[in-house]
Amino acid sequence: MVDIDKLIFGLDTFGDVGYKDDGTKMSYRQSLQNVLHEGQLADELGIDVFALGEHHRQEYSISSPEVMLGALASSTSRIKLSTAVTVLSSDDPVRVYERFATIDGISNGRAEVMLGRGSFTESYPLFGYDLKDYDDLFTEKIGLFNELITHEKVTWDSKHIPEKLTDMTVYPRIEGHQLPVSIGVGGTPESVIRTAYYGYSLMLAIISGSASKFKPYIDLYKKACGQFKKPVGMIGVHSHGVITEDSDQKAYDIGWKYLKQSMDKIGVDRGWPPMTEERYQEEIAGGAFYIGSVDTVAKKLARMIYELGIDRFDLVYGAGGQLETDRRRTIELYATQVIPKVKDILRAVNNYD
Amino acid sequence: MTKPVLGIIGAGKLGMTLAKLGLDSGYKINLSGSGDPQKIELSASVLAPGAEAMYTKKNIEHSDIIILAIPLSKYRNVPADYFNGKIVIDAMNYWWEIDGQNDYYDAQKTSSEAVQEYLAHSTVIKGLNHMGYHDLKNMVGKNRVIAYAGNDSDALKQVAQIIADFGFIPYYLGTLHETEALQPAGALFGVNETMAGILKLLGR
Repeated sequence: MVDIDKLIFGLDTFGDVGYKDDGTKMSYRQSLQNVLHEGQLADELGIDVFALGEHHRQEYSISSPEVMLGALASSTSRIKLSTAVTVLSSDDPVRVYERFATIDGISNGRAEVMLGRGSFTESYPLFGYDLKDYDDLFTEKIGLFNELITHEKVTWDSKHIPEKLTDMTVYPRIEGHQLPVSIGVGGTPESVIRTAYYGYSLMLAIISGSASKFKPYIDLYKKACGQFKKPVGMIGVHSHGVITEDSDQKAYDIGWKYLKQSMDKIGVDRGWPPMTEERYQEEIAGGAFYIGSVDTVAKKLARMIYELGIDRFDLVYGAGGQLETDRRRTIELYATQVIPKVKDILRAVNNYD
Repeated sequence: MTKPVLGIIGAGKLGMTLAKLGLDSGYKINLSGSGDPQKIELSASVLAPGAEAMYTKKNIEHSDIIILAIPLSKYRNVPADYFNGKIVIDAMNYWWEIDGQNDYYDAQKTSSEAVQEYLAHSTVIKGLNHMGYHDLKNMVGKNRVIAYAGNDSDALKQVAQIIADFGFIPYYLGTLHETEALQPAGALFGVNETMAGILKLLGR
């Protein structure tokens, strides 16, 4: 039984540099401002969370999501403002705390943080970290970060963190609540267990394949929460989507052009082949892409939410750039038609159950 | 014929997925991560229930065929003599984001040949490496091909049987020297195809 009133719907973007409707590529400046407009629109339309990724690559405009969230903090009124993700391993936990405390202050308590490795590792050499220390860096930094959000006075000393703290307090304080933390997980079992260990929420990034194959990770998270005697936190899924009014074909064409472009670009770096059309179709039919008309996407989403029993879904919009109008259409239709429809379907299922 | 015991080294995304596939096809699975098996027991109990977690040394001792499912930069952390006399499936790939600068293979030598050089008294077969772990989970019994390669006909036969038991179609690619197609940017890397697709990609 899905608790429909508590379901959370978010919109996520990495700030893929978009295209104007005449097909010309936006500048970084235009792209950043466009994402702010989209965040404001999401707020007006009642989306629950707007979450921005951190990347340091040519095709994305957002490397400093917290600065963007700061701008949104003062130009939105109710939407939760999150990262997706903050790459903690190559960041300074004290600075991360300070930035989120600032966003939380400006936004009147709407800041959330999602921690993780992210899809890429370009931030390591950029900030002078050695990838060989990947595990140690994350383990130590999340430890310090957890101390910072749960204690006023913090004492810390560990190998890969330069600051040695003794009874230090970091300002400004996050007031009125504890900063909500989730961890973005791609499929590494250890990350799932770490999420449970700290009592954080779990966000599963489902970028390919059938969502039902991720059910064991949810089971693992719940079992681990039990073992660590932590309450089971929110469980969410993050996947790509393109939504159009009533033509599946139109959404298909947008995705085939832009998602393919985005996936293939990553593939070049990793030595994968370009995405085949057969693969693209499989992802739409039974896999991780929510691409199609309002009706198609709502049904697929409702099925997935019911099957996995999750509390939150974040739609990744605008992958590969996409035209300004197409990006906006996905946001509008998601908020005004898909989400209500998903809730209707789940309500009907609940009555039947 | 009784099935060989499979010892999987690596309890991450790939190792755990292969463990589950093995269990589902009726194999006994030993599993080890880095260090204390306690660290992976919880994950294994949910993601691959039935797999027995143990230290790597014991894993190798108690298994007939070993599958290396760890980052390429880590295999030299395991002493080579542990593997003496065993068949070892090399499912590892060079991934710059994890392994750093590429000193694992070059135009003259494939990464699997380097693994075979290190494991001088074992029989290395390359396999189970080219399909992403998501695809491995999703494509069982769907006529997808997993290519494998090596130099020892008996070991090759055994590995082909494992691939078939796991629910895939084995395709013999060639010797370890001929595994460029299975490495990053190679024709079969990341590929999830039927036989017709594989042959087309290889131009055969």
